[in-house]
Order: sequence, then C-alpha cells, then structure tokens
Amino acid sequence: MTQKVLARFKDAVKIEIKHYKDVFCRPNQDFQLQKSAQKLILAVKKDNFIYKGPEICQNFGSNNFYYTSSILNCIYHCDYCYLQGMYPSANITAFVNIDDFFEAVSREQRSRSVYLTVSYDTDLLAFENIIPFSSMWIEFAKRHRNTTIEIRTKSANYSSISHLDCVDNVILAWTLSPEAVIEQYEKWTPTLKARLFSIEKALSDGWKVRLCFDPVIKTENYRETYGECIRQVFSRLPGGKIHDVSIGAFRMSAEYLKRIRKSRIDLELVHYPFECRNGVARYPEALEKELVNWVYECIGQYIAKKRIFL
Amino acid sequence: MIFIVTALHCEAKPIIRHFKLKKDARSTRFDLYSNGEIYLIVCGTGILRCAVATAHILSIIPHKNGASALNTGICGAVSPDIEEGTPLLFHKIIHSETGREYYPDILLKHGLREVALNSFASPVTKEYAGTHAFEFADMEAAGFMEAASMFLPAHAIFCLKVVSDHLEGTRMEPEFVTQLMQKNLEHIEHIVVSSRELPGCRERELLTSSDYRVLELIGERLRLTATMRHQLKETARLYKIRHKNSLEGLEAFLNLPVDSKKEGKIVFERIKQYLIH
Repeated sequence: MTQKVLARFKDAVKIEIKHYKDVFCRPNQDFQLQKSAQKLILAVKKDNFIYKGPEICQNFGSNNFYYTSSILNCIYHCDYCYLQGMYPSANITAFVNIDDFFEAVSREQRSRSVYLTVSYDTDLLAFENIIPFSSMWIEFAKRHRNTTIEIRTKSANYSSISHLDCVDNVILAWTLSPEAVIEQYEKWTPTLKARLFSIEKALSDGWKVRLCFDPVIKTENYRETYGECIRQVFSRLPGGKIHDVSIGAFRMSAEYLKRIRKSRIDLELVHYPFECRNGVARYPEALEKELVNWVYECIGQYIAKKRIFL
Repeated sequence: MIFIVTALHCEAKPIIRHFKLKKDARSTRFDLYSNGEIYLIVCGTGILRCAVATAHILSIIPHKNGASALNTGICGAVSPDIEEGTPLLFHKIIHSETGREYYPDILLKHGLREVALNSFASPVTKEYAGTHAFEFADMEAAGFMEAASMFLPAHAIFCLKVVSDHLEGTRMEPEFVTQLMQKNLEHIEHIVVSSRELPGCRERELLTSSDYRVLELIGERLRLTATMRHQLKETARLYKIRHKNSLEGLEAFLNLPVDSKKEGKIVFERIKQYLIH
C-alpha cells in the first residue's frame, strides 16, 4: 500500500518519521494555514481500530453502531466541519495497515451484526483515487455479511468505484446541501449538481443510497433555500429508490467549537450564539426543531416518513 | 518580525550588512543586532548555547503573533556530491545525543532542497559518518528547535544552512564562511520576506476601547457579577463578528433606571437578547 501511494507522488519530498503523532500532534500548529498546504502522512495504527459510535451521530436504529477512521482529515474544507476543532493538524493521515482494521471489525461482527461508518473523520470516496479504501471496505463487506457499512461522502467520485459489483450491505451516503450553502460554506466540494449526477449513477447501478441533509444550516431564507434544494434533488432522483434519508441541524462538541472560534475569528457561521446542551453546541431548541421539521416536511413529500431519520 | 540565530560572527556578517542591523544593547549575554523588525543573535557553537540564545532572544524581545525564527549558518555534508555552497532547508532535525526529532512545518513556497539534519554535540568526521547513518551535520539546530518550539508555531520556525565542508575536520577560514553566506543571502531574504506574509494566529481584538468603555459602564450600572460581565463581553464580541457593526445600540441600555441587582439582572437579559438576535 505504502509503495503504491508513494509511486503516485514521485516528486514529493518524503520525510521519514518515527510515529505519525510526532508530526500530527506537534504542539502549536495552525490548522487553517496547513489546510492551504496539506501534507500526506502515511502511518501504521497500532490499536483502537474501531470506536463505539458517538451519541451526537445518527445510529439508524442499530445498537451495534461503530465507526472507524482509516484516514484522518479531509481534502475538503467545510466551514462547519468539526475536524478543525478535533485535530491539532490539518494534514491528512492515512493508516496503511488497513488489514488490521478489517481484522478488528471481523472480530466484532462474528457474534452479532455491526453497523459501521467508515467515512466520518474524512471523505474516503473523495480520496479514492489516491488510496482506494472505499473499494477495500466494499470488498470487505462482500465477505462479511454481518457488517453493514456506510461510506459517507460529498464527492462526485462515484466513477472510482462504479466498476465494483453492488453489495447489499453497503450504503453509499451523500451529504447534500443547497447550492448556496455549498458555495458559501463547503469549500472545495463538488456542486450539488455534480453530487446528484454521481448519485443517479449509483442508483441506476443498484446501490443502496442514503441522502444526508446534515448539517442543516440556518441561513437567512432557509425555508426557500432548503425547499428549492429538496425539489431539485427529487426532480433528479427517484424517491422510491432512495434507501433512507437523515436530517440533522448543525451541532458540534462545544469544546471543538471553542477551538474553531479562536482560529476563525471572521467566520459568522461558527460565531452564532449556539446553546450548549450536554456538552454539545447547537441551535436554540426551538430553532433546531424548526429547521429539522422544515426539511423533514419538504422531504416527506417525496419519501415515506418512516425512511427519514432525525 | 523575525529572529535569526547564527553560531558564528562570520556567518552573521553578510546578514547584518544586508539588512542594516545595528548592535542592540538589550542583550548583555550574547551579541544582538537589530533593525526593529529583524533581530539577529550570535549564540556561539553548540546545541545548548543555541537553545539558550534562542530562548533568550525570544524572551527579551516582545513579539506578537506572526513572528518567526530562523537558524542559519553552515553545515557539513556526508556525500561529496553535495557541493560546497549548496543551500538546504531542513524539514527534520535530529538531536543525535537524545534521538529527539523536530519537524518544522514548512508551508512556505521555496526552491530549496529539503533534507534532514543531525545536530551533534561535538564535531563529527568522515570516519564517524562511515559508521553512522546521517547525511548532514551541524552543532546547533536541535537546540534552536527545542527553544523556538516553546515560543512559536511550527510553521514559523525555519532552519536553513549552507554546505561548507564534507566533514574533513579541517579548520575553516572565517572569510570563506562569510563568502558562502553572502552567496546565499537571497535564500535567507526569501525566508525573511515570505515568513512575514504568513498570517499569524487570526485571533485579534474585535472590541474597540470605546466598546470596552460601554461594556464596563453597563457592568457597573447593572451591578453585574464578574461572570455576567464576562458573558456580556463574549456575547458582544460574537455580535460584532456576526453583524460587523458597532455596539452603539447598547448605549440606550445605559439610560434605563436600575435600582437593584434584581432589576440589573432583568436588563442584563434584555441586553443579551438584543445581542443574540
């Protein structure tokens, strides 16, 4: 794996390091500055290959909800992204010992079915042309029917996995936002149109597709913005073929938000007067309900409500 | 503002001349030169001396976010293929005694060769290089890194050296060293100029002195507790970020009659609502 990746970057300056944390966790790094010149760290993870799913995330009805991070950080730069407050560095760390991750999941799913998200602290599909972890997880799922894997992305890179056979226990999940939100807050990500194009292809190939309207951002005219976005989405995609939809208003660990506010002083979005409830910064309760309900009602026109997760 | 650390006078000479640095009396322990924006300290040879001088200069000269530090001078190369006078920018510095590694975060664009450097406590020779794995050697950089990392962000620390020898162990003439440094001034200047363009930590003061005055007056009139005053300041700061306008609207609250702490609390809640929406 390492050699393959290195071969892709023949001209890159290579620095040998003892442990990825020596670089990734250096004190006094500037996440925002690093984002403009991201480096790739290839590392071996020694332990903690899978984690229990956090409460802040939707578990889609599964009691055995886990997540794993074979890559830390993302090539996109969304203003609302919690990674800015979670990691000390914006450099991308890829763990090349993916087989150890597989082994850990394999052990976990022997006695019970497992729901595993593999693309939370990164965007695996966006990175597929560099490191084909999405394909590898899909192949893994094919051999381990007790594991349901969600690969979440904002990318329009379905073509990189379109050659693979459809696997029933893999859900390809696309995060969707109105074009105005993408333009303003989701730097370097594909347009809504491009994402929809990828989804259309995936659906027609028979993949299970999840749509994630998460995070819903409070914009001045969010009713029109999200209403129009949802109309656009379902004018392109057949609602009946969508596996399910998840909706969640912007929320983030209050600790992460505090860090982000320090480094992104001019960014209005993170300086909204959020309320802190159980250590999580969220919109005031009434507004949060209003945002989620609005999106829920709009989507409910196209999809059975039992397939919409809040 | 940039802090330059060199071991020897002959290494510093072309830099002092080029940037028109003058002797600065603020340091009595080391020779310090400055022009108010660039500070250069001559530390003498050795890892420890370099650490002490770097910590010293960064302690006695007040600096803000956006300051950077550069360790420059000469180094030895193991391979004879690396020509004398070759400038190198180090992305990894290894303290040969402790094995500790330092990684400057190079975010600047530059045209220099990037390599790793080993810092030794005493001069090393070709023979030593034959039995130990390293490519470049000096006697200061690890100390510089250790000290600079305590004060500055990783992207604001640079280590640029010029190859002066191939570890033959012969004494080097100061004029020769000065010449090597003179020839590479453009690279040093590039670091000095580019490091200024790197934005510092973006945290800056948003509230003006008149904002503070209004907030203080409100605090006094409403008899707010220290915690409430802190909340008021924080809410006002967020208001300014979101609305980009001044806090003039708050002055209206100063005229409201408040006769008790309880009434103060009620007005305080109204102010918070005003600032939140």
